[in-house]
Amino acid sequence: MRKELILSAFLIFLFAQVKAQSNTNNDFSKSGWFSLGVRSTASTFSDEGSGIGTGGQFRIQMSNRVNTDWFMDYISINMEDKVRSEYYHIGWSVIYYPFKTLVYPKLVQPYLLAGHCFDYNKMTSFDNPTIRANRLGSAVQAGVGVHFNITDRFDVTLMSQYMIHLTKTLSPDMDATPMVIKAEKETGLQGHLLTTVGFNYKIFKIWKRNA
Amino acid sequence: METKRLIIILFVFFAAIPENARSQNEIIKAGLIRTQATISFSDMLNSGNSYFYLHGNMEAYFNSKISFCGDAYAYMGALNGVSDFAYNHNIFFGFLYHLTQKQNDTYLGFQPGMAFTRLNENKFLLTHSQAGINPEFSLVLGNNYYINPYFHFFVQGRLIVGSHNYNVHQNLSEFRFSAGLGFNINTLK
Repeated sequence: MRKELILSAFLIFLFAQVKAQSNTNNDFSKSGWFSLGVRSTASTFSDEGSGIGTGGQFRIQMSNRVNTDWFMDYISINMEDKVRSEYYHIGWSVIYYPFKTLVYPKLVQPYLLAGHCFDYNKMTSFDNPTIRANRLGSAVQAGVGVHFNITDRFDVTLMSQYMIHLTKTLSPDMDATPMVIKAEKETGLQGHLLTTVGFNYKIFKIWKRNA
Repeated sequence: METKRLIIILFVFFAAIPENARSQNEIIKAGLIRTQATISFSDMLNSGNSYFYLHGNMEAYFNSKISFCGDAYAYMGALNGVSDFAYNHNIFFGFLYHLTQKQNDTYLGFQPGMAFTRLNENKFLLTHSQAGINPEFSLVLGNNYYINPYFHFFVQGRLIVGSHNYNVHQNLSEFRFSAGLGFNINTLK
Protein backbone atom coordinates (compact mmCIF):
# COMPACT_ATOMS: atom_id res chain seq x y z
CA MET A 1 0.00 0.00 0.00
CA ARG A 2 2.79 2.33 0.98
CA LYS A 3 4.66 1.83 -2.26
CA GLU A 4 1.59 2.51 -4.43
CA LEU A 5 1.03 5.73 -2.49
CA ILE A 6 4.60 6.88 -2.99
CA LEU A 7 4.54 5.95 -6.66
CA SER A 8 1.24 7.73 -7.28
CA ALA A 9 2.37 10.88 -5.49
CA PHE A 10 5.62 10.85 -7.40
CA LEU A 11 3.96 10.46 -10.80
CA ILE A 12 1.37 13.17 -10.05
CA PHE A 13 4.22 15.50 -9.09
CA LEU A 14 6.10 14.57 -12.25
CA PHE A 15 3.19 15.17 -14.61
CA ALA A 16 2.34 18.44 -12.84
CA GLN A 17 5.89 19.65 -13.43
CA VAL A 18 5.84 18.72 -17.11
CA LYS A 19 2.41 20.28 -17.62
CA ALA A 20 3.49 23.47 -15.89
CA GLN A 21 6.56 23.71 -18.07
CA SER A 22 4.56 23.03 -21.23
CA ASN A 23 2.13 25.83 -20.35
CA THR A 24 4.77 28.43 -19.61
CA ASN A 25 7.23 27.67 -22.36
CA ASN A 26 6.29 28.76 -25.85
CA ASP A 27 9.51 27.84 -27.50
CA PHE A 28 9.06 24.48 -29.20
CA SER A 29 11.70 24.87 -31.91
CA LYS A 30 13.56 21.84 -30.59
CA SER A 31 10.49 19.72 -29.89
CA GLY A 32 10.04 16.50 -31.82
CA TRP A 33 13.69 15.45 -31.96
CA PHE A 34 14.16 11.68 -31.77
CA SER A 35 17.60 10.65 -30.46
CA LEU A 36 19.11 7.22 -30.20
CA GLY A 37 22.03 6.23 -28.02
CA VAL A 38 23.99 3.75 -25.94
CA ARG A 39 24.98 3.85 -22.29
CA SER A 40 27.22 2.34 -19.67
CA THR A 41 26.15 2.47 -16.04
CA ALA A 42 27.97 2.05 -12.75
CA SER A 43 25.85 0.88 -9.82
CA THR A 44 27.18 2.03 -6.44
CA PHE A 45 26.09 2.80 -2.86
CA SER A 46 24.13 -0.41 -2.54
CA ASP A 47 24.18 -3.19 0.07
CA GLU A 48 25.09 -5.54 -2.76
CA GLY A 49 28.31 -3.81 -3.75
CA SER A 50 29.14 -2.17 -7.05
CA GLY A 51 28.74 -3.34 -10.63
CA ILE A 52 28.59 -2.15 -14.21
CA GLY A 53 25.87 -2.31 -16.82
CA THR A 54 25.28 -1.92 -20.52
CA GLY A 55 22.21 -0.54 -22.22
CA GLY A 56 20.64 1.90 -24.60
CA GLN A 57 18.07 4.63 -24.79
CA PHE A 58 16.06 6.83 -27.05
CA ARG A 59 14.84 10.35 -26.37
CA ILE A 60 11.84 12.26 -27.60
CA GLN A 61 12.08 15.99 -26.96
CA MET A 62 8.78 17.63 -25.97
CA SER A 63 9.89 21.28 -25.88
CA ASN A 64 13.08 23.30 -25.57
CA ARG A 65 13.06 22.78 -21.80
CA VAL A 66 11.55 19.29 -21.51
CA ASN A 67 12.87 16.03 -22.89
CA THR A 68 11.97 12.39 -22.27
CA ASP A 69 14.44 9.53 -21.95
CA TRP A 70 13.36 5.90 -22.54
CA PHE A 71 15.98 3.39 -21.50
CA MET A 72 16.84 -0.21 -20.83
CA ASP A 73 19.94 -1.67 -19.26
CA TYR A 74 21.44 -4.82 -17.81
CA ILE A 75 23.64 -4.57 -14.71
CA SER A 76 25.70 -7.34 -13.12
CA ILE A 77 26.99 -7.02 -9.54
CA ASN A 78 29.56 -9.25 -7.88
CA MET A 79 28.60 -9.76 -4.21
CA GLU A 80 31.75 -10.73 -2.31
CA ASP A 81 32.78 -13.27 -4.99
CA LYS A 82 29.88 -15.49 -3.88
CA VAL A 83 26.66 -14.22 -5.44
CA ARG A 84 25.85 -12.57 -8.79
CA SER A 85 23.07 -10.00 -8.61
CA GLU A 86 21.63 -9.06 -12.01
CA TYR A 87 19.29 -6.14 -12.70
CA TYR A 88 17.25 -5.57 -15.85
CA HIS A 89 15.75 -2.07 -16.05
CA ILE A 90 13.21 -0.79 -18.55
CA GLY A 91 11.90 2.67 -17.84
CA TRP A 92 11.55 6.31 -18.66
CA SER A 93 12.56 9.68 -17.23
CA VAL A 94 11.46 13.24 -17.76
CA ILE A 95 14.38 15.60 -18.31
CA TYR A 96 14.06 19.28 -17.45
CA TYR A 97 16.60 21.88 -18.58
CA PRO A 98 16.56 24.67 -15.96
CA PHE A 99 18.81 27.06 -17.88
CA LYS A 100 17.21 28.38 -21.04
CA THR A 101 20.42 29.81 -22.47
CA LEU A 102 22.55 26.72 -21.87
CA VAL A 103 21.80 24.88 -25.11
CA TYR A 104 23.86 24.12 -28.21
CA PRO A 105 26.22 25.78 -29.30
CA LYS A 106 27.01 26.00 -25.57
CA LEU A 107 29.03 22.90 -24.68
CA VAL A 108 27.50 22.23 -21.27
CA GLN A 109 23.75 21.72 -20.79
CA PRO A 110 22.76 20.69 -17.25
CA TYR A 111 19.42 19.06 -16.40
CA LEU A 112 17.28 17.50 -13.72
CA LEU A 113 15.54 14.18 -14.21
CA ALA A 114 12.91 12.03 -12.58
CA GLY A 115 11.07 8.95 -13.71
CA HIS A 116 9.87 5.42 -13.25
CA CYS A 117 11.03 1.98 -14.34
CA PHE A 118 10.24 -1.69 -14.13
CA ASP A 119 13.03 -3.82 -12.80
CA TYR A 120 13.80 -7.49 -12.55
CA ASN A 121 16.42 -8.70 -10.08
CA LYS A 122 17.94 -12.18 -9.98
CA MET A 123 20.54 -13.43 -7.48
CA THR A 124 22.50 -16.59 -8.20
CA SER A 125 25.18 -18.40 -6.20
CA PHE A 126 28.58 -18.57 -7.94
CA ASP A 127 29.25 -22.12 -6.75
CA ASN A 128 25.81 -23.60 -7.26
CA PRO A 129 23.59 -21.90 -9.85
CA THR A 130 20.57 -23.91 -8.66
CA ILE A 131 20.62 -21.69 -5.56
CA ARG A 132 18.91 -18.57 -6.85
CA ALA A 133 15.96 -16.25 -6.34
CA ASN A 134 14.31 -13.56 -8.42
CA ARG A 135 11.68 -10.88 -8.18
CA LEU A 136 9.91 -8.49 -10.50
CA GLY A 137 9.25 -4.97 -9.30
CA SER A 138 8.91 -1.31 -9.89
CA ALA A 139 11.19 1.62 -9.11
CA VAL A 140 11.38 5.38 -9.20
CA GLN A 141 14.48 7.41 -9.92
CA ALA A 142 15.61 11.02 -9.74
CA GLY A 143 18.89 12.79 -10.28
CA VAL A 144 20.96 15.31 -12.17
CA GLY A 145 22.88 15.18 -15.41
CA VAL A 146 24.67 17.16 -18.03
CA HIS A 147 24.81 16.95 -21.82
CA PHE A 148 28.10 17.83 -23.45
CA ASN A 149 26.95 19.09 -26.86
CA ILE A 150 29.75 17.99 -29.19
CA THR A 151 27.85 18.93 -32.35
CA ASP A 152 24.30 20.20 -32.99
CA ARG A 153 23.12 16.56 -33.18
CA PHE A 154 25.56 14.61 -31.03
CA ASP A 155 25.98 14.78 -27.28
CA VAL A 156 27.81 12.94 -24.54
CA THR A 157 25.72 12.69 -21.39
CA LEU A 158 26.89 12.15 -17.83
CA MET A 159 24.19 11.65 -15.21
CA SER A 160 23.77 10.38 -11.71
CA GLN A 161 20.42 9.23 -10.36
CA TYR A 162 19.24 7.45 -7.26
CA MET A 163 16.86 4.58 -8.00
CA ILE A 164 14.55 3.33 -5.25
CA HIS A 165 13.02 -0.13 -5.73
CA LEU A 166 9.46 -0.25 -4.43
CA THR A 167 9.36 -3.99 -4.07
CA LYS A 168 10.41 -7.11 -2.20
CA THR A 169 14.13 -7.39 -1.60
CA LEU A 170 16.28 -10.44 -2.26
CA SER A 171 18.46 -11.42 0.64
CA PRO A 172 21.34 -13.93 0.43
CA ASP A 173 22.67 -15.64 3.56
CA MET A 174 26.22 -16.21 2.41
CA ASP A 175 27.41 -17.77 5.67
CA ALA A 176 24.81 -20.56 5.60
CA THR A 177 25.76 -24.03 4.30
CA PRO A 178 24.38 -24.47 1.75
CA MET A 179 23.87 -20.82 0.87
CA VAL A 180 20.28 -19.52 0.99
CA ILE A 181 18.84 -16.72 -1.14
CA LYS A 182 15.30 -15.70 -0.33
CA ALA A 183 12.80 -13.01 -1.29
CA GLU A 184 11.80 -11.07 1.83
CA LYS A 185 8.04 -10.93 2.31
CA GLU A 186 8.17 -7.34 3.52
CA THR A 187 8.63 -4.75 0.83
CA GLY A 188 11.37 -2.24 1.44
CA LEU A 189 12.74 0.99 0.07
CA GLN A 190 15.99 -0.38 -1.23
CA GLY A 191 18.00 1.32 -3.93
CA HIS A 192 21.25 2.15 -5.63
CA LEU A 193 23.04 5.12 -7.13
CA LEU A 194 23.34 4.77 -10.90
CA THR A 195 25.96 6.85 -12.67
CA THR A 196 25.64 6.69 -16.44
CA VAL A 197 27.71 7.77 -19.41
CA GLY A 198 25.56 7.95 -22.53
CA PHE A 199 26.10 8.89 -26.17
CA ASN A 200 23.17 10.16 -28.21
CA TYR A 201 22.58 11.19 -31.78
CA LYS A 202 19.54 13.16 -32.95
CA ILE A 203 18.26 11.06 -35.85
CA PHE A 204 15.19 12.93 -37.09
CA LYS A 205 12.25 15.11 -36.01
CA ILE A 206 9.05 13.18 -35.37
CA TRP A 207 7.06 16.35 -35.68
CA LYS A 208 7.80 19.94 -36.63
CA ARG A 209 6.35 22.72 -34.56
CA ASN A 210 7.54 26.29 -34.24
CA ALA A 211 5.38 28.24 -31.80
CA MET B 1 55.91 -17.72 -48.33
CA GLU B 2 53.22 -17.41 -50.96
CA THR B 3 50.93 -15.65 -48.48
CA LYS B 4 53.66 -13.18 -47.52
CA ARG B 5 54.33 -12.39 -51.17
CA LEU B 6 50.63 -11.88 -51.81
CA ILE B 7 50.35 -9.45 -48.88
CA ILE B 8 53.33 -7.42 -50.14
CA ILE B 9 51.90 -7.28 -53.67
CA LEU B 10 48.48 -6.15 -52.36
CA PHE B 11 50.09 -3.51 -50.13
CA VAL B 12 52.14 -2.04 -53.00
CA PHE B 13 49.15 -2.22 -55.36
CA PHE B 14 46.74 -0.35 -53.11
CA ALA B 15 49.30 2.19 -51.95
CA ALA B 16 50.25 2.98 -55.53
CA ILE B 17 46.75 3.58 -56.92
CA PRO B 18 46.59 7.23 -58.02
CA GLU B 19 43.00 8.05 -57.05
CA ASN B 20 41.29 11.38 -57.50
CA ALA B 21 40.29 11.20 -53.87
CA ARG B 22 43.87 11.80 -52.83
CA SER B 23 43.58 15.43 -53.77
CA GLN B 24 39.85 15.94 -53.30
CA ASN B 25 39.41 14.84 -49.69
CA GLU B 26 36.00 13.43 -50.60
CA ILE B 27 36.27 10.08 -48.85
CA ILE B 28 35.51 10.96 -45.22
CA LYS B 29 31.98 12.31 -45.29
CA ALA B 30 28.36 11.42 -44.52
CA GLY B 31 27.45 8.03 -45.92
CA LEU B 32 30.91 6.51 -45.66
CA ILE B 33 30.77 2.89 -44.53
CA ARG B 34 33.91 1.05 -43.57
CA THR B 35 34.48 -2.51 -42.49
CA GLN B 36 37.44 -4.63 -41.47
CA ALA B 37 38.44 -8.10 -40.34
CA THR B 38 41.74 -8.77 -38.65
CA ILE B 39 43.51 -10.56 -35.84
CA SER B 40 43.62 -8.65 -32.57
CA PHE B 41 46.16 -9.23 -29.80
CA SER B 42 45.51 -8.50 -26.15
CA ASP B 43 47.00 -8.15 -22.72
CA MET B 44 44.86 -8.85 -19.63
CA LEU B 45 45.64 -6.05 -17.19
CA ASN B 46 45.01 -8.18 -14.11
CA SER B 47 46.46 -11.60 -14.90
CA GLY B 48 49.05 -10.66 -17.52
CA ASN B 49 47.74 -13.32 -19.91
CA SER B 50 47.73 -12.56 -23.62
CA TYR B 51 45.00 -13.72 -25.96
CA PHE B 52 44.19 -13.27 -29.61
CA TYR B 53 40.87 -12.70 -31.33
CA LEU B 54 39.30 -12.51 -34.74
CA HIS B 55 38.15 -8.88 -34.81
CA GLY B 56 35.53 -7.61 -37.23
CA ASN B 57 33.69 -4.32 -37.33
CA MET B 58 31.42 -2.12 -39.38
CA GLU B 59 31.14 1.66 -39.10
CA ALA B 60 28.79 4.20 -40.64
CA TYR B 61 29.62 7.92 -40.77
CA PHE B 62 26.84 10.45 -40.08
CA ASN B 63 29.27 13.19 -41.11
CA SER B 64 33.03 13.70 -41.09
CA LYS B 65 33.07 13.95 -37.27
CA ILE B 66 30.58 11.39 -35.93
CA SER B 67 30.09 7.73 -36.76
CA PHE B 68 28.34 4.73 -35.28
CA CYS B 69 30.44 1.59 -34.99
CA GLY B 70 29.80 -2.03 -34.01
CA ASP B 71 32.67 -4.38 -33.19
CA ALA B 72 32.76 -8.14 -32.65
CA TYR B 73 35.62 -10.21 -31.25
CA ALA B 74 35.75 -14.00 -31.48
CA TYR B 75 38.13 -15.56 -28.97
CA MET B 76 40.80 -17.74 -30.63
CA GLY B 77 43.17 -18.74 -27.82
CA ALA B 78 46.04 -17.79 -25.56
CA LEU B 79 49.44 -16.57 -26.71
CA ASN B 80 51.19 -17.53 -23.49
CA GLY B 81 50.47 -20.16 -20.84
CA VAL B 82 47.14 -21.75 -20.00
CA SER B 83 44.10 -19.61 -20.73
CA ASP B 84 41.67 -18.65 -17.97
CA PHE B 85 38.85 -18.95 -20.48
CA ALA B 86 37.29 -21.59 -22.70
CA TYR B 87 36.10 -18.53 -24.59
CA ASN B 88 35.73 -14.77 -24.18
CA HIS B 89 33.79 -13.40 -27.13
CA ASN B 90 32.68 -9.75 -27.20
CA ILE B 91 30.46 -7.28 -28.95
CA PHE B 92 30.73 -3.50 -28.62
CA PHE B 93 28.63 -0.73 -30.11
CA GLY B 94 28.79 3.03 -29.87
CA PHE B 95 29.74 6.36 -31.35
CA LEU B 96 33.19 7.51 -32.43
CA TYR B 97 34.39 11.10 -32.70
CA HIS B 98 36.74 11.76 -35.62
CA LEU B 99 39.47 14.34 -36.12
CA THR B 100 40.04 14.26 -39.85
CA GLN B 101 42.65 15.86 -42.04
CA LYS B 102 42.54 15.00 -45.73
CA GLN B 103 42.67 11.17 -45.84
CA ASN B 104 43.87 10.84 -42.29
CA ASP B 105 41.25 10.01 -39.67
CA THR B 106 42.15 9.88 -35.99
CA TYR B 107 39.28 8.94 -33.72
CA LEU B 108 38.33 8.25 -30.15
CA GLY B 109 35.21 6.73 -28.71
CA PHE B 110 33.39 4.99 -25.94
CA GLN B 111 31.60 1.73 -26.65
CA PRO B 112 29.48 -0.24 -24.18
CA GLY B 113 29.33 -3.96 -24.85
CA MET B 114 28.91 -7.50 -23.66
CA ALA B 115 31.33 -10.36 -23.03
CA PHE B 116 30.20 -13.92 -23.62
CA THR B 117 32.50 -15.94 -21.40
CA ARG B 118 33.11 -19.40 -20.00
CA LEU B 119 35.98 -20.35 -17.73
CA ASN B 120 38.57 -23.02 -18.55
CA GLU B 121 37.42 -25.94 -16.36
CA ASN B 122 40.90 -27.46 -16.13
CA LYS B 123 42.50 -24.21 -14.96
CA PHE B 124 39.99 -23.66 -12.17
CA LEU B 125 39.33 -27.36 -11.37
CA LEU B 126 35.63 -27.05 -12.13
CA THR B 127 33.38 -29.98 -12.99
CA HIS B 128 31.21 -27.66 -15.06
CA SER B 129 31.81 -24.02 -15.98
CA GLN B 130 28.82 -21.83 -16.77
CA ALA B 131 28.48 -19.75 -19.89
CA GLY B 132 28.03 -16.13 -18.86
CA ILE B 133 26.98 -12.78 -20.25
CA ASN B 134 28.81 -9.83 -18.69
CA PRO B 135 28.34 -6.09 -19.28
CA GLU B 136 31.49 -4.23 -20.30
CA PHE B 137 32.57 -0.87 -21.59
CA SER B 138 35.54 0.14 -23.68
CA LEU B 139 37.54 3.22 -24.60
CA VAL B 140 38.78 3.27 -28.17
CA LEU B 141 41.56 5.24 -29.82
CA GLY B 142 42.62 4.66 -33.40
CA ASN B 143 43.59 5.92 -36.80
CA ASN B 144 42.40 5.20 -40.33
CA TYR B 145 44.33 6.25 -43.40
CA TYR B 146 42.14 6.19 -46.51
CA ILE B 147 44.33 5.37 -49.50
CA ASN B 148 41.46 5.48 -51.99
CA PRO B 149 37.63 5.31 -52.06
CA TYR B 150 37.69 1.56 -51.38
CA PHE B 151 40.57 0.76 -49.02
CA HIS B 152 42.19 2.09 -45.88
CA PHE B 153 44.82 1.08 -43.37
CA PHE B 154 43.87 1.13 -39.71
CA VAL B 155 45.36 0.80 -36.24
CA GLN B 156 43.24 0.65 -33.11
CA GLY B 157 43.81 0.32 -29.37
CA ARG B 158 40.98 -0.59 -27.01
CA LEU B 159 40.82 -0.57 -23.22
CA ILE B 160 38.09 -2.90 -21.90
CA VAL B 161 36.62 -2.88 -18.38
CA GLY B 162 34.34 -5.62 -17.05
CA SER B 163 34.14 -8.70 -14.89
CA HIS B 164 33.12 -12.34 -15.26
CA ASN B 165 30.68 -13.21 -12.47
CA TYR B 166 30.10 -16.93 -13.01
CA ASN B 167 31.70 -19.83 -11.05
CA VAL B 168 34.78 -17.79 -10.08
CA HIS B 169 34.98 -14.01 -10.35
CA GLN B 170 37.47 -12.89 -13.02
CA ASN B 171 38.51 -9.37 -13.94
CA LEU B 172 38.02 -8.87 -17.69
CA SER B 173 40.04 -5.63 -17.93
CA GLU B 174 42.11 -5.91 -21.05
CA PHE B 175 43.99 -3.90 -23.65
CA ARG B 176 43.57 -4.96 -27.27
CA PHE B 177 45.44 -3.94 -30.38
CA SER B 178 44.27 -4.37 -33.97
CA ALA B 179 45.76 -3.28 -37.28
CA GLY B 180 45.36 -4.10 -40.93
CA LEU B 181 43.65 -3.26 -44.19
CA GLY B 182 39.98 -2.29 -44.23
CA PHE B 183 37.36 -1.75 -46.90
CA ASN B 184 35.27 1.38 -47.36
CA ILE B 185 32.61 2.68 -49.69
CA ASN B 186 30.69 5.94 -49.95
CA THR B 187 26.98 5.23 -50.08
CA LEU B 188 25.91 8.86 -50.62
CA LYS B 189 26.89 11.14 -53.50
